[in-house]
Amino acid sequence: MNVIFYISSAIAVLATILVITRTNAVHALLYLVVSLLAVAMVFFTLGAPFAAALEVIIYAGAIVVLLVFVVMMLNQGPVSIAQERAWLRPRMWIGPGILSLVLLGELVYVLAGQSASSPVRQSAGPPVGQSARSDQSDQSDQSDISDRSVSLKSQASSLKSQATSLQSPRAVGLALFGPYAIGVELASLLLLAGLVAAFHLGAPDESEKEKGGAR
Amino acid sequence: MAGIPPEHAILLAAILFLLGLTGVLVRRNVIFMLMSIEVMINAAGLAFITAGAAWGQPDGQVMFIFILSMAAAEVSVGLALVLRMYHCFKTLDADAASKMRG
Repeated sequence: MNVIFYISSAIAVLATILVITRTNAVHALLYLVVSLLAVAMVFFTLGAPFAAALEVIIYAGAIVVLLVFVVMMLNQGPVSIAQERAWLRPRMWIGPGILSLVLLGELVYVLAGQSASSPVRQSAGPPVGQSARSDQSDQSDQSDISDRSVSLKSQASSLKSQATSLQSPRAVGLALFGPYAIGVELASLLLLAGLVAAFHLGAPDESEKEKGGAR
Repeated sequence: MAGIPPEHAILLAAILFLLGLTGVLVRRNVIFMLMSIEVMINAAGLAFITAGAAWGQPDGQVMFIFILSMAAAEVSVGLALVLRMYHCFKTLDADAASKMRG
């Protein structure tokens, strides 16, 4: 599983580099599909098969198809490729490249410090700490609280045991329509807003309509 | 699954995010900028999935589903804007639309 993870992450990084360096929009889109499929493979190796399926269906399916349609409608021919080549001088890469590399260095530094001090693999840090603190503070009479801390501890240990296990779609669905129901409502509102906005922006202009009427 | 360190997956997410950021900064074609934004959103989703897998909770995948719906809404509105812009300026140059005009 580890080897698959590293291979697919290398493919994802390479394909993404190719996406941002291509001059032909269709080639870039095809590399984007490869990158998204590689990320889906990464999701699968991380134990999230439902997210991997959604990634393939919605990202590599629906969103990329939308982009392909628009690229086809915009007639990106050889002229635009030449224009892209003119815009994409090597000098252009210096500034953003340096800034991104500095950011990457910072992130690697922070991650290295994190993993040195408190690795996530010693899972469930906060619950263990909480239970330890409650053990210290409520030693006298609150048996229920100590019970709770014991349950927290057992929760933490179960977390530790299942830390890298598979997250079933069933658990995701239960969480999605249980505690996150308001988020589902908000997502539906967002999609409705996107629909209305796309309809409004795609509709022909008022002034053009008037012009057409005047003609 | 079998003991992939979460740091490595988070590092992959960071690299993908920064590649997308570089694409947004470098490119002048609006279509390529939209693609780079997709890459960035995807990297954020990867970070959520990694965190969910590291803690053994389904919440990461729930957040990924929200990010997915957000990305779908974003790309539909963005592409409608791109079509509009091409209609107005006959080009996909992002610099062509740098002036605000009532």
